[in-house]
Amino acid sequence: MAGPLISFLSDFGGESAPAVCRGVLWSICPEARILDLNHNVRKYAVRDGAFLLSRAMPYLPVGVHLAVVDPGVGTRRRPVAVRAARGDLFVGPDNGLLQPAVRALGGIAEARELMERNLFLPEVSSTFHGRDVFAPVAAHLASGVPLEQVGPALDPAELVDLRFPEAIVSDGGLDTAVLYIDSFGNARLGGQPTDLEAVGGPLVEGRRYRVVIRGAAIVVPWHATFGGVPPGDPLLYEDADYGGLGLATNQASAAERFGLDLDMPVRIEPV
Amino acid sequence: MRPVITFLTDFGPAAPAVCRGVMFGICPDANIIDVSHQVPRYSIREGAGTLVFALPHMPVGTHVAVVDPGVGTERLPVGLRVARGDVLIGPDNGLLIPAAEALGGIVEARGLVNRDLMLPVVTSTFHGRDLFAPIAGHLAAGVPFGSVGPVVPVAGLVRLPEIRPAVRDGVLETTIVHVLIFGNVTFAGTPADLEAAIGPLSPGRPIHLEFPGVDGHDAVEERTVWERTFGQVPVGSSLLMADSEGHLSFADNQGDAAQRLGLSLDRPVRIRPG
Repeated sequence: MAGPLISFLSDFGGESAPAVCRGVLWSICPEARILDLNHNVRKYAVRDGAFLLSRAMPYLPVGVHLAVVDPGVGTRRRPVAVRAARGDLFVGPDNGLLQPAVRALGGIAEARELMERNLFLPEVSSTFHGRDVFAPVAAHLASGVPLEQVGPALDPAELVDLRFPEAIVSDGGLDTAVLYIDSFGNARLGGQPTDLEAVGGPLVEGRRYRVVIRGAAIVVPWHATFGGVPPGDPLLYEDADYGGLGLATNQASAAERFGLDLDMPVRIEPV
Repeated sequence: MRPVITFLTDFGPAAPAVCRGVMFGICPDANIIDVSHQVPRYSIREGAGTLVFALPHMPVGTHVAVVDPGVGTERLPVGLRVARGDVLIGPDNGLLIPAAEALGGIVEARGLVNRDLMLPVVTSTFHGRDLFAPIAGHLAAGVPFGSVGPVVPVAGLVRLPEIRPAVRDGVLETTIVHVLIFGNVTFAGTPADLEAAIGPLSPGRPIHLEFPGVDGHDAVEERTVWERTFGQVPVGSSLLMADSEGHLSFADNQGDAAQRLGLSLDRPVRIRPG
């Protein structure tokens, strides 16, 4: 039987902080298989971390998921552990980071505040709870320590929530918004291809839509992939990385070209 | 249990994979933890600081560190066995010593000279691959430490000059010893050193920082406050605090203090009451 899975996401970057946390995890749970999801989440961007974590979850086996994007480290924000309906355990700060991922796995079955000092490192700093609190608790949980030992139960409704805008069909168009911008400058929009089909009929290669951003309309074709349009031209497509509607430009940054920002409204209408 | 090898270099993206390949070739069961390969090029002091930060939290194992501007010269490749039971492998240029002390101190030092434990051809410019990685692989696979080469005197090992803050009346004079990826800046010294110079530190106490001009950089002054953690000042504001290692640290809450003020390693700083 393979060792327990611990997945790990942070905004710590390529320096040594993720390695230190891996060292802590392996010191406590030497059999763990550690899956680094991403340590290049935009710094302090709880929303981006929440988005990436939630999109990855359906593809992961049941396990312990350690996530740290924690601009409030050392303040009164609570450290928490959450059991999702699927059986996974999430460990991280109570700042909304974990919520979309837990929802993707069926919602909160149990939530607890991390209070049991015996499960932390002996000395807890004010600025590196990833190492001192979250990693050791995650490793103890992976080793079989029961969730109820981490601390008192919390009412799930008390946790800080974080929700992404949804796509809404109105007046023959789709009102959506930018959920995430990846390193290529591709924008993941709220909604699924089926939502766009609901307003404009079947999605066929080359079919054109009017896309309204900041009050300006552009005409953008639907394509299966970037190379369906000449370099520099925009397209609407189904993003395989993040599962849903995407707006991109072929070999260029759509975010730069159209001045996109998180939560910016985008309306899509049939031409 | 799988043997742990940790690995730190200033190699950047590609070369570490070659070294990992060598280690896995010799010790397929190894659990390799990449501590960092983004140590600023040739910066022995930054590499040493990162090892001190990281190794105490690693499982007992073999730790390879290569920041080696003297590769291929007469500087000796060494292995250090420490009190905790780990073996540290790297060049004798001071890189390993602070971490070895953090792991309980050096019990035995040996020169790495046994050619049977190296790759068949040892180049003059890539000892990470040809010498350090294979020896780490052999040690992780169970080769006794005694077989790497002869004992060398601990007192003869190269040490980095220690940087200590100067406590004066009403001012602490110190130096930037580390710049972290978030743009947080670590100063030599502890809160106790600062209290010796300017009196008790309590949350919210105003602090004045002066970074004298050095070549290419104008003098910079900064008004900040002593706090316990980032979130106690508004986003974008700066603070002075004790970092997770107990060193004096200067940072912007959710910003990049080093970039904002143009700070880099070795820059002197004067800390006064604000």
